[in-house]
Order: sequence, then structure tokens, then C-alpha cells
Amino acid sequence: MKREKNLDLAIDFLVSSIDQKTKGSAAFHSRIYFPFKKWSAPYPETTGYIIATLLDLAKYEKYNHLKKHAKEMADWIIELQAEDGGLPGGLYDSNGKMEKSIFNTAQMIIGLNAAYIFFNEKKYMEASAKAASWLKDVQEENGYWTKYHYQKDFFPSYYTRVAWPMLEAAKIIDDIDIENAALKTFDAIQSKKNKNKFVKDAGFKSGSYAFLHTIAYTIRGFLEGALINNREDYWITAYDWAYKLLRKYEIKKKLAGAYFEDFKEVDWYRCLTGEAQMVIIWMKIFEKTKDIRFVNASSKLLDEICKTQPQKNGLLLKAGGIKGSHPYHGRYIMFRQPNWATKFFIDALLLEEKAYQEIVNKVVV
Amino acid sequence: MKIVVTAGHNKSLHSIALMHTLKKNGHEIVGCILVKTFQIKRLKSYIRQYGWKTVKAKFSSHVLGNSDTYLANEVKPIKDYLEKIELEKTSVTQFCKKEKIKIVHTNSLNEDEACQMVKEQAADLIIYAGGGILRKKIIQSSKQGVLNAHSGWLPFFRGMNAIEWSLLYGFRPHTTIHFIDVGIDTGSILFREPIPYHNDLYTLRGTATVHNIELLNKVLGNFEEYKKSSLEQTPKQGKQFFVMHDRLKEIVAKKLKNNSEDKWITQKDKINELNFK
Repeated sequence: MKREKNLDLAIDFLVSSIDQKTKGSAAFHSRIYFPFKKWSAPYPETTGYIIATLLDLAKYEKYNHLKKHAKEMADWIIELQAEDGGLPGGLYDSNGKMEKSIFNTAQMIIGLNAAYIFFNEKKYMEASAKAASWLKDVQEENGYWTKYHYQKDFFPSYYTRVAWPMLEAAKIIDDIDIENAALKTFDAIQSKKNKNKFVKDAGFKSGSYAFLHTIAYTIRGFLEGALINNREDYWITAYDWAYKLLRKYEIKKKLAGAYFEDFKEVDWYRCLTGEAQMVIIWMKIFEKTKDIRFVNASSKLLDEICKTQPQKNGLLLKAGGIKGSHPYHGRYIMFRQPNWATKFFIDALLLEEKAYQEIVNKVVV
Repeated sequence: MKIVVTAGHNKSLHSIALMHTLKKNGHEIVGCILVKTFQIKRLKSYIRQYGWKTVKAKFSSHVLGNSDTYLANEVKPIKDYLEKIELEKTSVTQFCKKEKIKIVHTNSLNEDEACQMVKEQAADLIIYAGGGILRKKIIQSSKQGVLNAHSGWLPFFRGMNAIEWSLLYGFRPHTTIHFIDVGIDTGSILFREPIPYHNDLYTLRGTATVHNIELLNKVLGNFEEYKKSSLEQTPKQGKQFFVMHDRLKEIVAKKLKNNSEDKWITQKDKINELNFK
């Protein structure tokens, strides 16, 4: 593998993030937030989707041992599940003071689905079904959610990443009601698409910029929705936006840390998390279209991300962990190395390798 | 025909050979727009586009004429061509001085003094031989417009590294003679022909430069006829490609080394069969 050292360092970072008591993954490493213990409390949300990454890695002989961690994580998530199926938001609180959260529940469904597919154990499917069912039950008529989410009067477009795991769960358990609920959310968000290909409200606040991270969340949701349900309109929404960002990247050789809805850039920092997520999106577009331009841009962007990955433990940074932003004081997850940035980086590296194998073996004459 | 030629830098053998052959074929070279080589902004833009390693090697082989870089094979065909046409290696400035061709040194091809020179010289045509992106004002400054030789089959392979992208998709690289408009390689097409084959990527790139010169001369020899039968393009017909990543280039170079000439798709109708949805 071309970037094996980067991958190994990133895996070591993720494994180090695992809390020995709970088996959940700490949200981030930071010598500034936590000068002595360095790691935050475990984060159920991202632990959820890290399961999928570890299981992807476990398919390789070299990394097969990681399935043990993935299983422990999935079991921990089941422990955290409320009676009605909801899963908690925020960092893990050993006193049990945790509120249920729409978005976070959906992210954990990703892990539960992956665990079910990998281990073929019914308990993961049941937990996923219960969680997806809860999301459907508390959904409003218009496809939005008003309860159990961050801001009451603002419904962010990156909730396509709630609809995607719901849709995935619906397909696994063959539940048309959950499927329809997910599609309702996709359609509601898609109605906010601007002429310039940007989908309104893709950030954390209304009328403000959106980090590349939440833009990528929004695009990925549409992309996965399109792939699962064969929906051309979701595909076009995802493709057009992703291609526009690719073009911007190829011309400027840089993606901004955040964008306003008119594509005005906040470019004094890079959102490394979002960059890794964009690589995943571009690689997935390649998988469907065989358009190698998407691999080309991905490899260039991965080169740039790799340059920021600490190769050794330092005063502030832990080896292998991708920073939220570059420079470290950039606005997105300032002064921290979130576990999800490294998770998306690993996903991106695996997809890049797969793409090159395909290019060498199939695409090129 | 009164022609103005562009040059991307003062040591551009491409521009020199082009002016020389056009002149020899009876055209009047009324001017040359030379973009200044040493500009911080331009250098930064190149490094951003190609990376430091490539820029360093390009500068060494193309500007300084060194033959010890991995890009030396790219320059060899044009050097051989100069020898063949018995033209001594010189600079654009010296060539223009010797041939009494008016030359303007500019920061960009789009500067007022460049447009003004084209108008003052009452040029019929500008031939693009490097120097950066052209804007509307310079495109419209001559009577006929701007002609370019692009090293890819248009309308399909637009933009950068068209040779490499063609090969990656299994298509034999072509030279396309076309008019430049405000889009990227979207102007009407006058002529297309396969680039003479070579199984070394850099030699093939260098061969393409010579082929560009030969085809431009061929088209200008019967310009009105080619113009009459030219093909319009629409933006949707093709794809814009960008600078190719080294890892993909390695795959291309390897495939080129291992495949014989007949392995590549050459028929234009086959282009739709490429694995590219």
C-alpha cells in the first residue's frame, strides 16, 4: 500500500483513543484542553461510525485484530441505548446524564449496521432497527425534527446524514415506513438546493458559513441515499456540489475551511476533517462513474492531508492523529485532534487504494 | 497572412521553431508576445499547479536546457527538430531581433500593450504557443482570432495533461487544431491527427510539440478551407481534465511502455466506448 505508514499511524491513534473502561473512543486528543490526561471522554456518536472503519480495516489480514475493538464498541452502544431506541448525544457521562440525540443516534446506526453485516449477530440489527424506528417516531410531518436536536428553530441540511443511516437500516430490516421517513427528510432538504448547487443551511447556524465538514456530511448523505435507493435526483445534487468543489480545488489547489452559500470562502484555515470527507465522496463518485478525475483530485488532496499528519508524538500533537483544522488554531475543532478526522482519513486512504487497484486492473486498457 | 505568435518564456524553442517555419511557408510574422519568465505570481501559480519538483525540472530542462532531468526527453524532439530545419538554438528575443519581428514583453498575454500591438500590426491571426490563459480582449484583438494546437482529441480531452489522460483511457493521443474562445479548449475544431507514436511518455510529449508545429503549418497552408469545414463544439461534449497526479502518470508511463502502438483506440467513433460514464 502506497501510504501504509500514514495508515498505520492513524490506526494507532484511533486505537489509543479507546477508553479502557467503556471501550468507547475518546472524542479528541488535546494537550490544550486536557494537559495531563490528553484525551477527552468517550464519544458515543463517533465511536458509532468508527466501528464501520475498524471493520473495513479488519477485512485485511494485517488489521484483522481490530474487529475485537469494533465489537466492543458496538456492544457499548447497545448498552447506551434507551428503552425507546434513542441513543445519547454529547460525550459519555459516567453519571448517566445523557440526553437522546437525533443526529448522534443516526451516526451510531452506521456502526450497528456495519457490526450486523460483519458479525452477523442479530442483536446489532435489532439495536439498529430500534434506533431507526425511534427516529421515525419522533420525526415531524415535514421530514424535520424539532425535538432532541441542537437548535429548536434551525433544521440543518447535514441531516441527510440522519436520513442515510435510516435508509440503510430500512433496507436491512425491510421496513417501508422507516424508508419513507428517510426519503421525506431527503426531499425536505433537497428543496433547499440553490441554483448554484449549494444546499442552504448546511452549517451549524442559519445564514452563516458552513464548515467543509458539514458540507461534506450533507453531500455524503445525498450520495449514499442515491446509491441505496437509486435516486437520480439525489445523485445529481451530490455530484454537482462535489464536482464544483473539485473544480475549485483543482484551480486553486486548496479547499477553504468553510464556505458561505454563495461559495464565498473562509480560507485562512483548512478543515482537514472535511477534506478527508471530500476525498471519500470523490472516491465514491469514481466508483460509480469511473471518472478518474475524481481519483486524481483525491490523491492530490490526500498528499496535502498527509503532510499535516504528525509522524511523531510532540509537545501538542499525538502521532497519527489528523487535526480538526490546519493550522491548529483554525476554527473547526480548534486545538484538537478529533477521532472522527482520523477515522475519515483512514476511510479515504482505503478508498484510494481500492481505486488504484481498479484503475490498474480494469479501467485502463 | 499576418500572424502574431505568443511565447511562454524567452527560451521557448517551440515559439522560435513555430515562427521560423511559418515564415518559411510564406506567412508574415508581424509580432511576438513574450510573457516575462521571472514573475513571483507566475512562479507561485506554476508551483501550485504542478508542484515544486516538476517546476524545478521544467525550468532546468526547458529554460536552462539541461539534459540531466527526468524531463530531458520532453525537450529532445524539439531540439532535434531545430537541427533538422537547420535553425540554431537562440532566445525568442534574439530570434525576433534577427528576423525584425516586433516583440512585446508583458506580465500576461491579456495586457493592454499586447492587444494594442496585435491591432497596430493589423494581425489576421494570433497563434498560441504558451503564456497562460487568454481573455476575451486579446482573443478578439485580431481579425480571425487565436489558433491553438492542443495535444488531445477535442472535444473530449480538454484541459491539462491531455496526452496522459488520453492514454489513461486507452485512447491514442491526437493533436487538435482549434480556435481559442473564452472556454477551456471549447473553440471550433479545424483539424485532428494522431501524434506520432513513441512508447516513452516524455518523448511522446516532446514529439507532440513538434507535431503541433507541423499541423499548424499544414492548416495555415489551406486555412480558408479548414475554416469552412470546421466543427463547432459545445461545452457538454467533453470533459475538462486537470494536472495529473504522479501516481496516475506512473501508471500511464508503464502502460505506454508495455503496449504496442496498435493497442490504443484511434477511431473517433470508438471514443464513446471508453469506460467513462
